[in-house]
Amino acid sequence: MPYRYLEGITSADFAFEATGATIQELLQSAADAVLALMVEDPERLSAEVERVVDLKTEMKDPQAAVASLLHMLLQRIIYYKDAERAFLRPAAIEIIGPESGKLELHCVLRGERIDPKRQALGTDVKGVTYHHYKVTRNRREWKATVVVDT
Amino acid sequence: MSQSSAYALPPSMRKISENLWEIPIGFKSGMRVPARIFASEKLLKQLDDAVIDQLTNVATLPGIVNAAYCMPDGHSGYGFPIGGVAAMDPESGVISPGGIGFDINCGMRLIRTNLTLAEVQPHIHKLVNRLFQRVPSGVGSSGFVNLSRREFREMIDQGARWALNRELAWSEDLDETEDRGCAVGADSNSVSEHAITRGIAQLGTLGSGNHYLEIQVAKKENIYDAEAAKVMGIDRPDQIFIMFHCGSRGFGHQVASDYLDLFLKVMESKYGINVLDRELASCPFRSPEGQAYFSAMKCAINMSFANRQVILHRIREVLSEVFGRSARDLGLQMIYDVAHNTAKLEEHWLAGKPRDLLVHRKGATRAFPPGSPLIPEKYRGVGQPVIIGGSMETGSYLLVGEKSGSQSFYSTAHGSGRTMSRHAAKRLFRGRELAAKMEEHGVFVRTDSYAGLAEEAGAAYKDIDEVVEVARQSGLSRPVVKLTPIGNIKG
Repeated sequence: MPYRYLEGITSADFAFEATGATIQELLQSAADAVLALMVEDPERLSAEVERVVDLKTEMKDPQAAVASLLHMLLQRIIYYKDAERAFLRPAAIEIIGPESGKLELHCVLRGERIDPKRQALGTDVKGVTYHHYKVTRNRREWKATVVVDT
Repeated sequence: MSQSSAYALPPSMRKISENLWEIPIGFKSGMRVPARIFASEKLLKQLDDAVIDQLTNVATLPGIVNAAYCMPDGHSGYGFPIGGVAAMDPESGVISPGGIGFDINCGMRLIRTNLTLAEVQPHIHKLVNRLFQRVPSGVGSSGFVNLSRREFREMIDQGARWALNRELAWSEDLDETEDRGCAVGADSNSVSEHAITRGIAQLGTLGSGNHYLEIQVAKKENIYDAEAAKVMGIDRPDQIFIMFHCGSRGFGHQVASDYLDLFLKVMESKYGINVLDRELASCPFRSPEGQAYFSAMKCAINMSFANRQVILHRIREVLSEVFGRSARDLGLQMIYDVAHNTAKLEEHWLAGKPRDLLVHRKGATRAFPPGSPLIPEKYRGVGQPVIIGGSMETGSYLLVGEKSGSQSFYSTAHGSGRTMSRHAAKRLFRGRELAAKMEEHGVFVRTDSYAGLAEEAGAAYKDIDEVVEVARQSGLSRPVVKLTPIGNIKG
């Protein structure tokens, strides 16, 4: 499982750990972890709605840059949940500059309009916090710890 | 850092009075004031360890005055603990979005009715179902008030007054709303277009999580202050009330995120401020960034007041429809509306002198005393109404502020406080079983999310009676009546 929810970090909201062999996989895993709080089986969302997200960041090192990009991407998914009333999931992720502190993300998000009649809804996610927020990398994988406010 | 129900309290923590504990300056490097926790021994044992760390971090913020406080329902949050109160000198101190939270002006509104339990009980399913249909709730819900961007900007500048101008309020509703439903000084130019886009379709929605609309009864044996109850319009046996809890929705959440990110970018490079926790990101209150956030926060406060106002309008429509009488005839008058997550400039007396202070309340309720000119005239004899929400299984309280509340800048608890994570609650409880059990115990609940319902199980919260009793014993606020739920809508 590319993500798991964590105990012992927050009582009022949700914390998770997401992993990925690549930056792209990490972003996908973390996005799914957030979406899965709001709707059951986000992997089964159809592709009726599409949005393209372009994000940039410049930080002192690659891990900090990935952390910054991840935070922005998750915030954008949460934004679309309200602004477009849609659950949108990364369908294609392109990363430019992955070994530097200067990263660009080009991501195609696809998903469905929110519909309580068709979807099993969960909890509203308000935003991504910096509480225990961490992105690390070892030889095998990238790992992120994220707490979202619900 | 682990979250434990048997956290070893700091050895330097001392009991300074019944239900009041202090961690002295020096416990942590950089503390400018002590940290004080209002709690019984029982509530103290339930405190998760992050509260101590977060509260003592708050005590290091520039310009903080007296102490960093934690209310009896306190539990860990981000930056500030939930239940955290901190007052800053506005000239030398900071403003911190973490001291307000994502859901700016999350708050509670309580409405009285002329109805009794005997009149409502036979119709409870119809009433709850109709409210569930007509008051949008849940993830991604959209509101029933359509606004252009220009109208949205007007609304966030004006708050509940905007609703009155559109005949979505009674004029007396504003009298019974904290700050008359408008934070003066809001400027829609201080919010991002992103925030407006995120919130423009959500006016008139409850949200989800711990947000709800509840139908309640005041049983005779649960009235503790008959005089104050009478002043508030509690005037018959088994009287029915409606209480609801919601905030500034996606608009407020985006304002909070936008400014947290801005403050993180500038606080060290521009102002030399270092904080122990990124979620305590701060800027000097009088700085351009501090003032911009203060103005944007007020926009979100106003959106939330307008939100609760239009929801009240819809509640009046539904009850009128279900009971076949006008809302006026049904006596659907507001008792009060309180805000939980705000920062306000207030005058407080310290060392015998009046001082203007910026009071951050995060998951804490303002509770002005009897005689305060800032509360409606009809309540000045008894004190500002305070609404403290319990879990959906236990009931809630209406209280009043006390003169002795000056010790916490007239702040008190806002709810029960969680003792169990949402994830743990979802593992332990099944929403449908919980709903069935609640109905057996006389509470009919509707929700779009049984997973969300499980997260809100009563067992996940502290004992509301204990929280209120500690608030009473501590002199923070005094209970007037306990309200028992009979119907509930959960987002």
